[in-house]
Amino acid sequence: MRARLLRYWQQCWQSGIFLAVCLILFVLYGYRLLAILPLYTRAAVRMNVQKQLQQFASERGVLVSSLMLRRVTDTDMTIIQREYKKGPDDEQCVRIVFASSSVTSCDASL
Amino acid sequence: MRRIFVVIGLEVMAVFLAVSQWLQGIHTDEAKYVLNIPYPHPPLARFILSLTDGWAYQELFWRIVFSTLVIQAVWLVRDMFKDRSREEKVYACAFWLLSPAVLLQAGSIMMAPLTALELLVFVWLYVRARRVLGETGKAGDIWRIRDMWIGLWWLASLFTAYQAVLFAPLAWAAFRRDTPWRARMAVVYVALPLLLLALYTFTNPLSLASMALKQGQGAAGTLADKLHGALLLWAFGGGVWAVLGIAGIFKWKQWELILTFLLITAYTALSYFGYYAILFTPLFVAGLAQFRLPRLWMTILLVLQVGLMKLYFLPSGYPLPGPARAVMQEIRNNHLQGFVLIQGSFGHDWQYESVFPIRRYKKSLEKDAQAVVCLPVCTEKIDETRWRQLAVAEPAKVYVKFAPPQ
Repeated sequence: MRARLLRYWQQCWQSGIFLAVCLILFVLYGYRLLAILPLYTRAAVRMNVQKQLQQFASERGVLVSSLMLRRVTDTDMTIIQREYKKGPDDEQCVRIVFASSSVTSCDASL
Repeated sequence: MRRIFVVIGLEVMAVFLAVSQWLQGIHTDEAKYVLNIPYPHPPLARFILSLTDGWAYQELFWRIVFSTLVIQAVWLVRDMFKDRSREEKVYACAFWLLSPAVLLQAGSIMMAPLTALELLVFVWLYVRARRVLGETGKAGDIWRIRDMWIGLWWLASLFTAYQAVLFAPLAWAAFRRDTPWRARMAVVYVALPLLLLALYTFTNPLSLASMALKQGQGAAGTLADKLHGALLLWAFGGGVWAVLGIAGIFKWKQWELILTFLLITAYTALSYFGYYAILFTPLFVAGLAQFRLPRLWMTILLVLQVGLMKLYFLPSGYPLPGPARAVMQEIRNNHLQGFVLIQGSFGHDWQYESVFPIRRYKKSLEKDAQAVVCLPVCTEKIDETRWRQLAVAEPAKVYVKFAPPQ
């Protein structure tokens, strides 16, 4: 009986040390994950904005360049206004107004 | 007493390998770890490296430490051949020490040699356990190493490099499952570190971004390219003994070992880098242990290995580092102050070698700069009335400001 208790005790303290190390890492990284969760949220919103922008342009038969997509910054979370017009020389232009800036691009290289 | 002489001899070899790498300069990947730049690997090893960032000979110190660990690991190899003759032990040790990957990578500050060492410990546990089981037929307390230590080793391996995930089958085999309690705990020991690694990965988006960028890199090649890549890695991993190593792995028919070998092969086929060769070396040792070759054969293989080492493996080894160290030495000799501006693509080795802040070249920064480095040519014109060119080795062109009048 005593030997068995001793064996259980040995197994428990060994597992306990391992679990304690894991718990420390879990708290450390869990806390860090909570701190950076908003980053992931913003990245998701940003991807959504880019998707909308591409959809908006493709509905009107124009291409959205990667340059324009890069202009969608983290602060440009909301598209306030989207405009499509024919330019002075029949260029196809898309003007998109974001919360903090506006982007206008013309012709097929848009 | 003889053992002490062997340890000293091995240490001389380790220092020689480390110094020979140190004299060549630092690679961009090595600088990334020494500077503790948080991608693409988990933090354990690079955090420890960063604790010494104020040391004058930090790079040399770690090269010697890494090299010592890899070379002295030969004692584990020797132990795997414990029940063999002295000759066989010597041949097995020669296999480890003369493996092209060990010779070329022992003195490098990379995660691959560390991961290979961690894998070697799991292979050693595996071979040792199977040997005891074969002798006694009983599981019992065959390891004499507490599961807690194996669990912590597995945790440390995963937090050294993501590639450690590939030897999960061997980690699983390392834990005792002879009682219901131990069987349950084995699941915890293996799974919990994996969950923690996943948690860490989500707290470090740079790792995720790095993985996404490298996703499919190397997947584009044809089947022939992949086969060629695999053959090259196996050849560097084991030299002429690689054939015996692979044959032994399959001859032994232990699924954990075969699965680990296949996982590493599949991973390196998708993401080929020459430095993964050393990951195969510990597995080949286990494979080699399945053969009992006559002395003549072993001697022929050893001679072939040495010959091929000199003729092929050492000359074709790994690319030499860039000119960062030589260029920065020249710039320091001018005793000026200010930024060093670089035109063209440059790696972390430039950051590591420079005592001055490094900036990507912009015309507007010229007034605060002391030197402009072009890699390999200047895409923007340098005004040679204000800058003079230094004579440094190609492919860099280096300009420094004319010294102010005294």
